[in-house]
Amino acid sequence: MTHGEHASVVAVPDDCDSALLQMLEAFNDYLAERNDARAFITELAAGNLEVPPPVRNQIAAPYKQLHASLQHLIWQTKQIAHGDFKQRVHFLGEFSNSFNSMVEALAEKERTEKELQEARDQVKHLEGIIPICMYCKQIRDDEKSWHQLETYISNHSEAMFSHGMCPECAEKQMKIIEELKPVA
Amino acid sequence: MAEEIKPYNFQWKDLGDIELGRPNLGNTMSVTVYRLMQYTMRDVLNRKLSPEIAGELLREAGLEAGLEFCRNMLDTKLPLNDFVAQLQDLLQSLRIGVMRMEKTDAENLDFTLTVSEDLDCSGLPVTGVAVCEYDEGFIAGVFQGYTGKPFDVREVDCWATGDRTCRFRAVVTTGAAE
Repeated sequence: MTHGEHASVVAVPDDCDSALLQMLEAFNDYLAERNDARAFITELAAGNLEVPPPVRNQIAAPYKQLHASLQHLIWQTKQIAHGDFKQRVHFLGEFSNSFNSMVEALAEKERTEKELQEARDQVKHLEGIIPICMYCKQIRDDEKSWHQLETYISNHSEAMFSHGMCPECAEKQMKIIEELKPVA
Repeated sequence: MAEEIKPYNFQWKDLGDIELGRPNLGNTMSVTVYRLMQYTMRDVLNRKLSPEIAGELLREAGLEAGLEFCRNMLDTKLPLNDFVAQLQDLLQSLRIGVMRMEKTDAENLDFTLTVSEDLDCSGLPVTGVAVCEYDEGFIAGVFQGYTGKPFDVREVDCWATGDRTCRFRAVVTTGAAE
């Protein structure tokens, strides 16, 4: 047993006295409990948390407490994976601090991603082939309605218009104004 | 909504106005005093009746307490995980224990949970006998209050049996809810 080997129960002689019998029975009970505890702890150390903990086993008791905490952590990580970032670990020292910091960071990341997506949804942009009248430059929308170019672009982008006059049009308009002036 | 008919007489208001009654000493007290009352009462019940009947009585009292606790302190409209989180926070803030869920099968209403630093038993001498019948009833009452269905709750591990955390298995039963 002290070499880490599985110890078999001690055979009880038929003719042993009651004191010795009592001692041997107690020792065998202890041995059984020790063997069960060792089997459980070995599985736990190997990462098998599905192993059922031995019932009413004082030797395994502290490991069962650890096992219970680990089982709860599994449950909590599943909740976090489903988006529940309110989960927090308590009373596990430095592990609690690290785990809780990680969950808070995940929550912050999700908040940021949500805000980013909302901002993206607000942005309007133009893409693809836009049907435009080659004469008057009106644009046809998806509902087959024709719109002034400025109206269409304003409705489908963040752009706004500031109206001015290009040099060619300015020259043309000036000529028209001149022609309209009464002859002295 | 029709007044709910309960099979017991205890009401939450029977606890009184503690702020009014204890303006200086407040609403907290020592675990020793709580256990002094419980374990002396348990001893009298054990002697006058039997340990089995004493256990049943404590379980039934716990069931009433759990039902009223759920009705008056918990939001039963929450989804299961949020309800569990609320229950965990409340049990901790009231210093009843540190509750942790191990397994939840919401479809079959089968739960395994642990309570560390349990108010009733953590630190007790190891006697080999589980003593958390009141907790069994309490947990059954809380789950029944939340789901509307009766539960059978049994303690699998207890400090008094040598473990360091109490483990409970709660399973819905097919009986009629109280």
